Amino acid sequence: MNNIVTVNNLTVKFSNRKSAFSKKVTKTVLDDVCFEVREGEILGLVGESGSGKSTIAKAILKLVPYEGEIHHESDNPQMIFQDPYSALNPAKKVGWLFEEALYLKGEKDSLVRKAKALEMIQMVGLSEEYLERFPRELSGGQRQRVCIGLALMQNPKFLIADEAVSALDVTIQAQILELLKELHDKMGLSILFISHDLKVVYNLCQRVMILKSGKIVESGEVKEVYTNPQHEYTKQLLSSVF
Amino acid sequence: MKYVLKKLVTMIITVVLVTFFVFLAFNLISGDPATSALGTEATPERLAAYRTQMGLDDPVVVQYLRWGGNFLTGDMGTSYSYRMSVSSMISEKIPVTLIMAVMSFLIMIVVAIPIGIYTAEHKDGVLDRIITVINQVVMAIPPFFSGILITLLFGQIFKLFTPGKYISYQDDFGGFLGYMFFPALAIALPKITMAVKLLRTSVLKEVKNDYVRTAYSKGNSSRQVLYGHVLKNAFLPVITFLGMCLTDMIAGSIIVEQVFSVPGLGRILLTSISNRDYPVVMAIIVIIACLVLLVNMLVDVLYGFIDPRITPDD
Repeated sequence: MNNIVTVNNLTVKFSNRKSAFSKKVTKTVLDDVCFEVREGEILGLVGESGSGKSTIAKAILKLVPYEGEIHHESDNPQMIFQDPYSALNPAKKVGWLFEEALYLKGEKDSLVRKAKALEMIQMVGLSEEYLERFPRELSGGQRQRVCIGLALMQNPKFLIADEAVSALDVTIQAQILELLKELHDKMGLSILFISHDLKVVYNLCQRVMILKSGKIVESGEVKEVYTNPQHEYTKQLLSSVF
Repeated sequence: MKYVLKKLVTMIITVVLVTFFVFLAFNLISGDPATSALGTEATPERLAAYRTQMGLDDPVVVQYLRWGGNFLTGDMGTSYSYRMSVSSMISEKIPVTLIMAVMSFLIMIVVAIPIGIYTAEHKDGVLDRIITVINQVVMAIPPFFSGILITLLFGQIFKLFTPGKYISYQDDFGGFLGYMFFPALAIALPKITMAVKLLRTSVLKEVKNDYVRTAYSKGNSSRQVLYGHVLKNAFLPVITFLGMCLTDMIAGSIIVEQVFSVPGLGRILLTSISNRDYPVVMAIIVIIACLVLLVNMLVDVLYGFIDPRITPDD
């Protein structure tokens, strides 16, 4: 199986100024992280708040400066965010957001754009009328569907879901997870699924990595890690849930 | 339509309340319009005759209603101290103050918006930090003092205008605008600094939203993201502020008019207050109140256009 993303010795440091005149303070957020995402798999990334989960996602998308090597097989990785309320521009209609992606790719024919937007919104389980709505008129779950649809507009091979269901209530969570699974099966997507919810990861992912304070302390097949955890931290995490 | 009607009714009620309370306030504070009109040497008989002639002996409510009724028919009354009709006194002053306010508003927009966007775009850059420091300093200078500084700098040193030599807009409109630029600048300066700060913060806050990252990942350039996605949302709080500024500038011109010897509404308002010249004061207050309310209404309507989240029914 090929790797869709290979990460070697990834280190991210943030430096900050407390005020305009003070010296920079440097903090290491990710320390020598190595992993790979295989083609067509859903890889779980678990860790507590502040462990650097989101920073891994940002580094892969080149949103933060990093040291080390990140090798992509897919040229346009897409991301789904935790907060579906801030993930959609409140000033634009859903249809506009869908069509923008096509417009930027050079699709000048508005009929073609509209047809594709319609196709996509139905694919993520919403009906045509939602294209004419503003994000504020949608529920959290519906917004998250729109976000997934927007990501899929790019025809990505690789998707990062950063706490994509954490802000939703349990029934909606299940629906969105179902949708992700379905799209994964249908399109052969590789997904990096970032979560702090061990149960969700168990149900969705094939492999899992445990992150603590910027280091990967354990990784492997989900069933193996869950039944036979090696690291002290993993045991602690699992005992708190099961 | 219903929305506009509702706003209009609120406006009228506000104007009535404002004028009534101002009327009341003048009757409560000490001072006698008859004495200030005729002088302290006037005989009691003459003062009494003057009071009867001007209707000053009637109860406050009657005086108010009489004034209001006349006002509605277009008669703003007669000035106590100048014995001339109020409308002729202030009709020439309104454009002066209004043009000054509009000018300073335009200066503010033209200066503040590009600087605000620039500093947000180049956050923590050298120029951003320099501007931030300058901003803090200028923000602390009140308009009358910056007016004095501007007079000193542009009037005395660079000789760009002659301090105190007001040019009437009826004589030379170009020269008038040239002269008015400087008081307008004095009024605009502190507002510029606030607008810059507000816009910068607003853009930076908006940029943190995930939809900005989504916009990037769709292939927008950073310019496209800023102008196509961020600015429209970032402008919302700024527009409220700009609306408040315009009303503030109309009212705030009073002191700056003194510094630059501009014969606008502010000046005549000050003299009339000290002379207890109610008709003049009332007329000016009605005009200012109407302008303020009108601007607020415009801002509300504009808000509806720029922000789809606000429907006129809200």
